[in-house]
Amino acid sequence: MDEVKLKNIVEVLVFCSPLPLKIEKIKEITAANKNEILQAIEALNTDYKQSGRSFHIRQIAGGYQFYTLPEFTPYIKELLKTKPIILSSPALETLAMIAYRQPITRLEIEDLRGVDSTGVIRNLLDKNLIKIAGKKDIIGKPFLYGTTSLFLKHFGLNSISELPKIEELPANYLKTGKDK
Amino acid sequence: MQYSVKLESFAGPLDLLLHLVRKNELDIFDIPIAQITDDYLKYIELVKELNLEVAGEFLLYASTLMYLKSRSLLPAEQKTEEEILDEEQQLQQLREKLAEYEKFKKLAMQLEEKHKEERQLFARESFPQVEQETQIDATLFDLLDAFAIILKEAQKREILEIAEEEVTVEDKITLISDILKKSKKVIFSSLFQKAKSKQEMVVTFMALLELIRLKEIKIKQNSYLGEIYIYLKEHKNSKIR
Repeated sequence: MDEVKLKNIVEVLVFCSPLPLKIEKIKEITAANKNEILQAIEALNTDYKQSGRSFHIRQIAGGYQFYTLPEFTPYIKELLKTKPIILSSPALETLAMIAYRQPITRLEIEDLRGVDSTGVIRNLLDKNLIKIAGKKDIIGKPFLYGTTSLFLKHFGLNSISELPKIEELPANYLKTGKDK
Repeated sequence: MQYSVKLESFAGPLDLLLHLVRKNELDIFDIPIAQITDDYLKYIELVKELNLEVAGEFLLYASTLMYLKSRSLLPAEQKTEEEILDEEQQLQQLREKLAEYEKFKKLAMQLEEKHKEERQLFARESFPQVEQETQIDATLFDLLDAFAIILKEAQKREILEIAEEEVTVEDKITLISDILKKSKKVIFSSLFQKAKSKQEMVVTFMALLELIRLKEIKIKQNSYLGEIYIYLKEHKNSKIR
């Protein structure tokens, strides 16, 4: 398959995909290898940039998807009239704990926050930002929570490893006083 | 007259403590326990004066703080070695909890920044979820109102009540579930269009109520008093093996 054709096929596949399109899926359909596909995506983005288009292909939540450029946001908001998900600060801190410590139980979250977190967790579940990721193998078999791919999308991440890094803590700080 | 007291609400006792530490520019690892305890209790008092409910967790921390404060006021020679050790351990636990909590607070702020940036960008995708996002949960009263209107309309049409096979609630539950499995959502009023009698309408409505009670479906509307949609509820529990 020649480069131009592959480029066009990759373009149309990403264009028609309702979710971030995984590279494996493109490989499956086009029989091209990973490198060729990555080159095609890069070439497409160069094309868009050179011809001054309003969108590009972006790597997000483990796949590829068309995204608008920030300068057009006001117009799109006018069109879609979306209500953005607004997260309260308890919701955000809980989400941060789940994102960095997943899988984590409700009790572990409550220990970190020092406060009952049933409502916040239910809220995050309803918003589909977290999911039940299993059960912990201890007495009572409590649910373990983890983040969803919608979480990745809402926070502009390709994978959990892209989360902002936790700053290093003083080395002695977890040791002192805890044992014994 | 001006009130100088600003009442902020805190997510929990750690949130309040961290705020007090930061406000007074203190070091988490070197907190003057007497001062922080007084500040903490002042806040709790204020909340109580305003007749607001104080969550139990706040009181739990208040008692720990008061204990630590009272211990810190005792001269060292009056304490046994064991007591000093215990005190130091409790203080250390408090410091660790605060440090850990602050870490997540910072991470949450970073996440919020990312979230804000991301809200400015739009993905090309099929947009049915846009519609859903703007939907609100319909209440039972919305449902009753909608049903009352349907019954009224039906009376205008003068439905002939022909004695025919009785439809049971179970039949209707099966029917509605089948429709939803095929088409994911259905407009509330459309469920009654084919009803041949008032009795059938009531049975359909009862079936809906039963499905809501069993948490099999959810009811949503686009706006207050808007068209009501019925969705099959995705069971979160089914995701667990």
